Parts: sequence; C-alpha cells; structure tokens
Amino acid sequence: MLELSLAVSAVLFSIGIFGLLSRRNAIMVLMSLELMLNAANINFITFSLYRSSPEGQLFALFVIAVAAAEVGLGLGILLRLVKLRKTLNLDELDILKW
Amino acid sequence: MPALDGQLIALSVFSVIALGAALMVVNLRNIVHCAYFLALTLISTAAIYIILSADFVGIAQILIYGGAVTVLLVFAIMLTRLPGDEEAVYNTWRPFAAFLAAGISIMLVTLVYKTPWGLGQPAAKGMDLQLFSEMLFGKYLVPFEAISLVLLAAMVGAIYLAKKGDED
Repeated sequence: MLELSLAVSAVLFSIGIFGLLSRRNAIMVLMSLELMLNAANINFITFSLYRSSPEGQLFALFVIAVAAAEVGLGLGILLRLVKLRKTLNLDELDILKW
Repeated sequence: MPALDGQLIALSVFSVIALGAALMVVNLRNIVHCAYFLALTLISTAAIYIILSADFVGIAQILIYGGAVTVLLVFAIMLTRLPGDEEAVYNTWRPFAAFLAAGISIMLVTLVYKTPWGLGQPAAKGMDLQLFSEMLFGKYLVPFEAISLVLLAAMVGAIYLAKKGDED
C-alpha cells in the first residue's frame, strides 16, 4: 500500500507537469498546479501514516491552506489580466520578456 | 489480513478514478469540463486521504477543494470567457511535455518500487486526532497563525486586484 500510494502520487505529479507545460490558458496552468500540490499531499499523508506521526497531516493541511490562498490570488490576477490585455494565452503574455 | 486487503482495493479504485480524471483535466478542450474533472480528481484524492487514515485532512480537502476552490475556478472561467478560446488549446511544446512527463513518472515509479523503505506496517488503529490537534495548537501554533495571516493577505489582495478599475 505504501508503494501504491507513492506511485499514484508520482503519476499525478507527472500529469500535473504535463498540463503545466502543454496548456496555453493560464487558468489551466493554475489547475495543473493544484494537481501537483495534491500529489505532494498524498506523499505527506502516506509517510505520516507509516511513521505514525501526525506531522505529515499537519503539513498537508498547511499546503491546502496555502493552495487556497494561491488560487484566490491567482484568479484575481487573471481577472485583472483579462480586463487589461483581453487574453489569457500565456504565449501572448510576454510583456516581461526582454 | 482481510481488512488491509479491503483498504488496498479501495485505494486502487480511487487511484484509478483520480488518475483518469486528472488525465481528462489536462487533455479536454473545454475548460469548464476540465474544472469539473478537477473537482472529481480532488474528491477522489480526499477519499485516498481518508483511506490512508487522515480523516480530518480528507474532510478539509472536500470542503476547501471540492467546494471553495472548484466554485472559484468555475466562476473565474465563466468571467474570463474570450472568443476563440477553444481553438488553440495546446502550445507547441506539447510532445516534449508529454515525453518529459512520461519520463518523470516512469523514473519516480521505478524509484518508489526499488527503494527499500523499511517502514513496516502502519499502526492498526490509525491516526489519533487528539494528538494531531495538540500538535497543531502546540508545537505548530506559530505556522498556524502565519497561515491565517497569509489567507487574510491573499483575500485582501484578491479583492484589490479584482475590483473594478477606473484607470482604463
């Protein structure tokens, strides 16, 4: 069961990486980021169970809280961006590129 | 041990659901469908947490991710609909990204199965919620309060960013 949940977490993380790199829409990139954070949480909770220590669960809880803050702030930025630039395509949002 | 076998079967079922839904999230063209499949992934992940006897984190996951984050994402998607969204969904790096993700996942899974973990079996009674809360409000009180400050700052910042601007 340890190996299975760690493997699931690894595959979920890779799916997140794939979404992060392959999608154009900025909201999709945020969603892929959520997948990767969840993969990390599965690891935390698995090791928390197998080491009989609640610290892994605590860190999973902290990750959930930070991810919620990140989604709220990220979506606020994206709404602003749509208002200013009329696009969410990450290939066109290259104003910081020199 | 039959009880452990039941756990293993439940874990496999929810893992298949979570991974299948995650694949739909990154591959579907309609972004609203992606958000709904993300909700399915997050809720099956919550089920995985509960199977791994992290009941509190599982419930928190359903409340925060399954409820708040999904609704927030769907609202943001509907507020930012632009013409021509669904024509060019993928960027030109897609084959490279697929190759990289497959490589990383094969490498990590091999590593997971080859490592001698030596952790033994988990405690049969599962996790103690009292110990968890004593640790949360004892040793980790300062990070807990810091998290609430982070959430407050994020909320204020999001309101400021998303409010109607009058400069343009």
